[in-house]
Amino acid sequence: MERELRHEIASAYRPHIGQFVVWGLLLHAIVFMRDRVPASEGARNHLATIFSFLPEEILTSPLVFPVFRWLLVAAGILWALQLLVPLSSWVSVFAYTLTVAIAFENSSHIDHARHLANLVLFVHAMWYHFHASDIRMALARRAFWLSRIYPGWVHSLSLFCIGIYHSNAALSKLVQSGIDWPNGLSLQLWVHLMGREHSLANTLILSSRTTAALLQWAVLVVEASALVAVFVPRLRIPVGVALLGVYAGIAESFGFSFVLNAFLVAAFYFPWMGVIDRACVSAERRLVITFAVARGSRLERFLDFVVSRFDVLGLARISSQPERDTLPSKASSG
Amino acid sequence: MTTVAFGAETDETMRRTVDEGVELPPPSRLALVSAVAFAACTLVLPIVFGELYPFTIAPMFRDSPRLYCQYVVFDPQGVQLPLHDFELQRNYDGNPVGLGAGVRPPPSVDEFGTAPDEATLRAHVARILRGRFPELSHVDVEQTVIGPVDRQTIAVVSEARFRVHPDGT
Repeated sequence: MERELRHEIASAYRPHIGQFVVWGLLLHAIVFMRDRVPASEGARNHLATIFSFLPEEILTSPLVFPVFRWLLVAAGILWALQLLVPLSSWVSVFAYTLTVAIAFENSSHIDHARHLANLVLFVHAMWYHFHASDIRMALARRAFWLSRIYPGWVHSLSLFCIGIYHSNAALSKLVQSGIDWPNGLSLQLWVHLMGREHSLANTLILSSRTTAALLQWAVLVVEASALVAVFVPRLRIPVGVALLGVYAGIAESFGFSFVLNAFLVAAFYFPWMGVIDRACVSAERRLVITFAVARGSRLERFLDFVVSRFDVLGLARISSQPERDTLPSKASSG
Repeated sequence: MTTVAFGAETDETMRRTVDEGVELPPPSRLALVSAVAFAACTLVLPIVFGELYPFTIAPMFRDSPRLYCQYVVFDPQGVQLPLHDFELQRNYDGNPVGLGAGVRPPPSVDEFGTAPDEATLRAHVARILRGRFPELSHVDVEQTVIGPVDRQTIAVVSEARFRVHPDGT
């Protein structure tokens, strides 16, 4: 097992999972970040976020939030387009963290929908930081998507963050409430108070404490297993499926959306690397799109930009030729 | 002239991977040290600080309540009054109240999982009446307790309605 983990950390993969995660988290951050700071009034807590040390004037300023909100949009777009990396990566992460932190600093209630996304985004900024020159070289060669440029340690560290997040949830329950936590009664009360109406699951939970207790036991075991599965690779698929089931159950029963967490579980608990390898090779054998364009033209530069960044299956080829010689190219046949 | 052509490829697939792909060097010592330091922060900071965004102990639903209360307050004309005014609002949303938030929630007698007795509620509401609503001769307070009624289900365990005057009677 230890050898397997060492191999995972030292390996390098095609960048699909990492880049899709970066795109997904940035898209969500840009589209769904709240527009304004909540206006909760009351005494301040001393410690809520890693930015709690900042002066209150900054944390409560009506200007700081929108400035960093727009900085997040600008830097996020640059990072998504792989421009100005790693600077755009770090600015994105900093702006994301500060924007959410300021919202929390001005709120009396918080949710936990963005904590994990923030940590994983940070890990991926580390990827862009420590391998910026490799990434730039791969882009210049139009070889980003076919290079094994996603380090295993980035994947493993992201997986660790996801595992520890869920196992912390189990630990919190046991530390706070002891082994009596999954007694069924508490789940019935939460569903009674906050549950969705017309939910079949809630009807079942409210009608049977035994069922509620079993569900709580299942949640506790699955959450605790999340970290174990990080170190025991063969457990990842079943634990990943179970975690997705927990999120589906939470959405069904309470309507709480943890879509980012579910996205990250789906991205890191399943063996996508092999699937992606096979998909890329298979797609490339079946279809190649060749663009014949005039050398040095704007179109060539545009295609170069687009193909190097978004041709995720590696299907496109750019055949640049002197303008007068540019003729229809023949499709290569397999 | 610009053209686009479609076709298929066989051996070139692997050749491109070998010839054109960038080979990632082994992770540098600094990268590994940074990764370990970050993992340590993720592990330790939530334990030390509880909640310190973006680090978290994921405390939602960590409690184990056995009942909860709902309140309603009416003025002398029978008009329903905001619970916030009487510090009877529910701050609980599944998370430990105030944990990880920069602003403490407004004070409230309502603590999810507890049911204060009538004497406690009377004293609390009378204090609010004297301090904030001297114009009100009294208010009527309804307390509904939801909890287990048998081994399998929950429902309303008790309902009480009592009149509170500023002097606590």
